[in-house]
Amino acid sequence: MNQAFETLQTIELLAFTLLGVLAVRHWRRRPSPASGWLAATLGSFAFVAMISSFFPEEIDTPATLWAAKGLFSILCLFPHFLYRFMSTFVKPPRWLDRVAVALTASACLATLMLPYSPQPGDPVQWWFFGFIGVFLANWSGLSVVVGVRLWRGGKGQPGVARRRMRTLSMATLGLALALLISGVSAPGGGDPTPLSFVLQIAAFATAPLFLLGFAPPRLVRMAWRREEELALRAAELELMKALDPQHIADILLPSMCALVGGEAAVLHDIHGEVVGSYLAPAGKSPTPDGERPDRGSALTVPLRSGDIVVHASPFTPFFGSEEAQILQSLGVLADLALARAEHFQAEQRKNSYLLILQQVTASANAPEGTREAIQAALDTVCRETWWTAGHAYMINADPNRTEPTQIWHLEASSELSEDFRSASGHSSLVTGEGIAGKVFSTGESWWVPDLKQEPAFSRADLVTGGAAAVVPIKVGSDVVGILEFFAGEPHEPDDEFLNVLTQIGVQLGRTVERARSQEQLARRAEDLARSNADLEQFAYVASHDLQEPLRMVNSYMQLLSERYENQLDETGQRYIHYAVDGATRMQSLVRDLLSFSRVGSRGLELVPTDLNRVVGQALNNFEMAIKESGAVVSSDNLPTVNGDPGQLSQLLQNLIGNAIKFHGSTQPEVRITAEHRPDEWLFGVTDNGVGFDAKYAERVFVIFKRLHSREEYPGTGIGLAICKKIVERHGGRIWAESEIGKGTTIFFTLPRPEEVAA
Amino acid sequence: MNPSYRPINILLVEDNPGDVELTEDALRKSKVATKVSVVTDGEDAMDYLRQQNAYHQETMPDLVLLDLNLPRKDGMEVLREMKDDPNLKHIPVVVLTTSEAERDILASYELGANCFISKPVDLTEFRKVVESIDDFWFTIVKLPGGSRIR
Repeated sequence: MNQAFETLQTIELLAFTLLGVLAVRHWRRRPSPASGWLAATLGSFAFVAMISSFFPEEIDTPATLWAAKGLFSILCLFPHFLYRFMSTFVKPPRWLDRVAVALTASACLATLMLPYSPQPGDPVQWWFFGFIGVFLANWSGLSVVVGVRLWRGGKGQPGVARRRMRTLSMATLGLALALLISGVSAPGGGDPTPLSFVLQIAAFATAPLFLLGFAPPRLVRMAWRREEELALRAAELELMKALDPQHIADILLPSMCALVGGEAAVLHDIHGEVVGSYLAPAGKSPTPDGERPDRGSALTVPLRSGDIVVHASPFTPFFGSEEAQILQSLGVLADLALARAEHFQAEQRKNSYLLILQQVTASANAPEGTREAIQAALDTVCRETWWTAGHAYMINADPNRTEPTQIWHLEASSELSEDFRSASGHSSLVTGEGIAGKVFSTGESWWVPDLKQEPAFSRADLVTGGAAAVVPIKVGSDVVGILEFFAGEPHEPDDEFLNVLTQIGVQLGRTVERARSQEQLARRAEDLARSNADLEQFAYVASHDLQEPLRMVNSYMQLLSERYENQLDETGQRYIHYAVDGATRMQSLVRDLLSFSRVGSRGLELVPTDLNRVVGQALNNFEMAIKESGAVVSSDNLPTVNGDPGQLSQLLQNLIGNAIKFHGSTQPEVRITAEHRPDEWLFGVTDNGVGFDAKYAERVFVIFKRLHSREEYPGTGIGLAICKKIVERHGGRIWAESEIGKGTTIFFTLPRPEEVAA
Repeated sequence: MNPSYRPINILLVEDNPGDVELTEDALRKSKVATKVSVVTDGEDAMDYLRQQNAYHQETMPDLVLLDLNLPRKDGMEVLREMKDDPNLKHIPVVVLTTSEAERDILASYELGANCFISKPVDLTEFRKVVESIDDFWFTIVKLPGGSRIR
């Protein structure tokens, strides 16, 4: 039994010695305060254990006594070394430091002041209890503080860090306990009990635990992060859905930190700008003043589009090639996700550009004016994108100068000062002057990354900086206006975006063009209305003032021939006849002209008109002429159309009148026909009269154009011109078909009632 | 019907001497005895009617033949003033003018013209028109001594 216990003790001695050597070696390999204090702790303990195994049984000489006292005080230092080791992870408050030093110092002092080494069987003195009390307070007090603080340090930390701290904490407590037991039981001698076996084995087990906690091997690290690896699988799924880099960082960085026990992680883009970062929630009071002792190392994972840096926390054991490999494979995932996000965002940007362009185009084509379209364009762009302000210049009277329009859009976030806006509102730019002036002269859009850096910008002292885009509004190749957009922040040129803004300029150019042609049209309509009014005035004058002199000529010629008949010879009478005839004809020309102009100037009153009645009336009026010529007039059953009864009556009278008038030697026959066509009525007035050469088919509708002499057929040649005007005012067409000697048909169309109504 | 034996006093407001002569000629040939006074513009016409200035000794006309196109005050204004004046509104007015413009005709009737006649170009026609004024006269004159009921 004793022999077994001794063997166990020997193995334990060897194990502790090996542990000390390993700790020192570890410190030599990875020198750090933590590994240093751990080497001191385990090294000093191994040293004491080794020396004490060669110690004689009896301590009877002063030399052996002081050697024993020396060894014992080194043993007193052991918990203090542990305390220091703990301080490298979790910095204790200052008062605790002082208590620790005081305890250790008093324990060492008490050991050195011990008058002798107590032997079994000696009566126990009172001071010996005091010594034991100080020793236990130092040993167990500090060990408990260390154990508790290490445990709490790992609280809230990701798996690897938390488990490591717990392992260290348990090892500390276990080791302290084991030493306490061996320290108390060994000097006393006596037979080992089963309990002392168990304690010995337990203490023995805690020693490797210690080293395991401090420098966990790969397999242990793998086991510790199993939970986090499961969490990572979930994060990977989440990552599939992430569509912007910020979101990707939010998902990936915490998982990466948790997996390797990192304290913080940062995602950088290709320019080294921070896209997203993550800081692990700090453990339970790592330091009172917030500073972390022994900042951990960092691992950099290079990406195609930047990199991820993971900082180890002080609780992390260390980053080995295993961690680097894990992070590297996560980096591949990050790369994929980032590429997908970038693609998605580019697509989204393109869509939003299209949407903006669509909105601007819609408002540019709305019936409102140019100013409204420009305002809508500025509003849309500033609302949908990061431009915060927009303004427009137009070119008005002076083609070499842009005029401010006072059309602005200002987002609430815009930092453009009142001064700047008022300066913009008063600056009219000459070609080539300032940014807008240059765009004006070149017709090319311009993206300014930062106004503060742009020497051409004339209003630079009035802005705090930021990007600007200036695009022309063009009609054809002429610049007719300038749009400028401002942002609060500098922005690198975005060709795609500038292209969209340029397109907006093109759309607005079309609006300007349309407005211009509308203006032109309105002006022409006004001219036309004026000339119509002039014409009416002319008609009035013609009816009144032109007839008066005619009447004078006519009346006095007649008086002359009456009164002086006897004094005039036949020639004189003939001359008077010519003069009277001329004046009479002139008067009928003036009258016809007047009635022609009246067809156009009078309002059209559309009512359902029965053409059978209209024809009936016309035939009544021509009763005499029909009788004289013996004409036979026949008519189809005619429809009721929408029309002005007065004008339709004039139309049919003229046509029937002509048909009767231009008869040849045969008995005149007139036929009025009506044909129902898909969207109109086709009418024909056919005679068997003299007809005319088809080449004159168009000329007959020209005012005062005649194909026959007045001697053959009287008339001024206005009848068909009036007919044409009436038909066209009703929305129809009129044409003539004729052959010399065979007769003539005048065709005309009138819209059918539903078409007129529509 | 009992025609008056004293000549009818007619005021002819006409600035064209040719027309004046033609009208006088036509009236001379008519069945009724007429005494024609001529003024050549609207101002004179109003003076004549109100018997003021140069015309204070003239007698009130029984009928006014009024041209529309007159120098100074035009025919429309003369017509308006006559019909606004209680002393003059009973005097029948025949608008005898070259105009055939609808707006002239409508405006004349609206202002209270008793008749609107366009002067025909043909002399014979013109004479017929003046004769019709005679007829018109007989239809509105009911009592001898010039008292008229319209």
